[in-house]
Parts: sequence; structure tokens; C-alpha cells
Amino acid sequence: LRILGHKSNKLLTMLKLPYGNFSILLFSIVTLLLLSCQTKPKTLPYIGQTKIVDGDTVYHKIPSFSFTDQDGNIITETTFEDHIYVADFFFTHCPTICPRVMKQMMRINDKYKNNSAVKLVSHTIDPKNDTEEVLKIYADKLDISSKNWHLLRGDKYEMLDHADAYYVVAYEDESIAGGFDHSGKILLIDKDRHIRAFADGTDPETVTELLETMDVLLKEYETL
Amino acid sequence: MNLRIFPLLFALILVVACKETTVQTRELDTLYSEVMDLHDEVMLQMSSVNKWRKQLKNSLNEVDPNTKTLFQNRINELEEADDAMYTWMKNIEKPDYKKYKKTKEYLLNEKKNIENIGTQIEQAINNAQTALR
Repeated sequence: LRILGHKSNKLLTMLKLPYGNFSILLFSIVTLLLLSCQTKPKTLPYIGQTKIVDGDTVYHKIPSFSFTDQDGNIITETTFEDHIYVADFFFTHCPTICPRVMKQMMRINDKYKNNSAVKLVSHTIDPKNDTEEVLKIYADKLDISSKNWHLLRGDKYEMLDHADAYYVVAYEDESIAGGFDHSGKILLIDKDRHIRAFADGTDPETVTELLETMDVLLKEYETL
Repeated sequence: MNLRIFPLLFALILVVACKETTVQTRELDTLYSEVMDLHDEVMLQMSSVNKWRKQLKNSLNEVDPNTKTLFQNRINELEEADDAMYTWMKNIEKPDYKKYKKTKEYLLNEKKNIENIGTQIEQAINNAQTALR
């Protein structure tokens, strides 16, 4: 106002505002602006079919399961209680898509292997060839530890049915003409078994986004 | 005969041999890519195999004994086709550039094999669809 000199006085007179009221007005505007600039903590959407049951919103949930991992451990949904996890479907001798997806899973593992709240799960859809022994050799070769990363096998058709629960996203995505077998999707599951995000495992950029999204999900739990 | 010509001749042979190896490597790579592209195309049908298998399986208890046998045969066809695909993927080998002739023969044969598996899968799906109509 000093800089503006007598012009500001003239303006204030025109607005009929004394200095005191003007300061309050200015303070209020600045406060409102600051408040509007504050962003709400980001939350992730729930992916899959949502139903309303007795007035409550029920989100799509990964069903219960029981498979064995590369070390012969029985892995069920309870293994992932208090964990968020990323999941994919693969087979060890897959010649084209899987090696690219696995490379991206390794990136995720590199970032979170020391974070006890995060796990990884890779489900084989070829249990005939991917025996427990084959999975173990594969895990050792890639330095995959069953402490945080389970390579799961079970009955082939039970596994494919289980995959359907994850790949609701693939069926919703019209760009995946051939279905999930060749989609290379990596899915992010929260502590309540809801799908919260997914990436194209053959596209490193979308996996970079998924890594950021995982941080957002972990923050969601920190604020609870 | 002038002995000075030998090193020159030797170098020329090396260059020609090297060029031929590069051409052969490229040819094998192209052939391998063609086989893998065919594999990718066939792979797109794999979720349909499971879809139709599931539909037949779910209908098994709702049909008469004759139809049940038909459905079971169709399920077997789908499972055999599925198995053929995974076995093929398990066994396919990358080109061995040191054995050009043998590798070329092998890849041409695998090209035929994956085409046949594609036909087998397509046939199994069509038969399943017909049975369910």
C-alpha cells in the first residue's frame, strides 16, 4: 500500500474500507486461498464389480485359496493378512511375455523386499511342468525368497478359476483381445483382498506408476 | 606362385565367411521371430479353451448320458489341445547359430508344429461350441 502511495488511499476510500478492515479482508482471502490449495490425501479406487448389500458398498474381493509355494509351504489368504501384495500369473518356460513381466516383478521386489508390509505372488498356470522342484530352481536362479515372494502352484483349473477373480480387470479392458493368458497384468491387492490398481507388466512405464501407487496405498494404511 | 597373395586370400575368405555367418544368423533370427509370432497368435485362444471347458464341465450333470459322453470327449479334446500348447512351449529351443542347417530345419519344423497346434485348438473350440448349441 505504501508503494502504491496515495493511489491506494484513493482505492480504499473508494471501497470505503479503512486499513484495519482491509487487513482482515486480505488475511481472509489469503487464508481461504491457502486452505483451497491444500490437497486431500490421495486414495485409490476399488477395481472390479461393486455391489450394494443392505445399504453397504461391497467391493470385488479375491476369494479364499490354498496353494503351495516353491518351498512347499501352504499359502492361503491368511498368509497375506496385514500385507498388501502384487500378483501375476506366469509359467517358467513361457517364451515371450512372462520373462518381460518377471523383470518388472523383480523391480517391484527390489524396491520392497525389505518392507514387511509388502509381498509378491506369482501363480503358475502350468503346474504340470512347473513342479515344486522346478519352481524352487527358478526361484533360486532369480534370487526369489519365499519370505516375501511366493511362486504358487495348485490344480491347473482351480488356478485358472482363481485367475478369473484377479483378471476381472482384463475382461473389463477391451484392448486385451485374447484374455488374461497373454495380458501380462500385474495387480495390486490391498489388505482386505480388494484390487486397487494394476499395471501392464510388459510396459515398464506403467509399472513405474504402479510403484508410486503402492506408496499411496501404504500411506492409506499409515493414516488409519 | 607369389606367396604374398596368401595373406590377402586368407583375409578375403575370412570376410566372405563372416558375411555369410551374419546373413545366416539374421535368417535364423527372422525364422525364430516368425515361429514366436505364430505362438503369440495361438496363445490368444488359450483363455477361450478354458472358457469352453468350464462351460462343458458345468453342463455335465444337466444332460442325458449320451450327451454327457459327447461333452466329456469335447472336454478331453480341449485339455489335449491345451496340453499340446504348454508342452510345445516347454520344448521350444532358441536358435543354435553354430548349427545353421540343423537349426533352420528345426525351426521350420516347429513352425509347422505350432501351426498344427493352432489348428488343433481352433478345432477343439469349434467342436465344444457345436456340442453346446
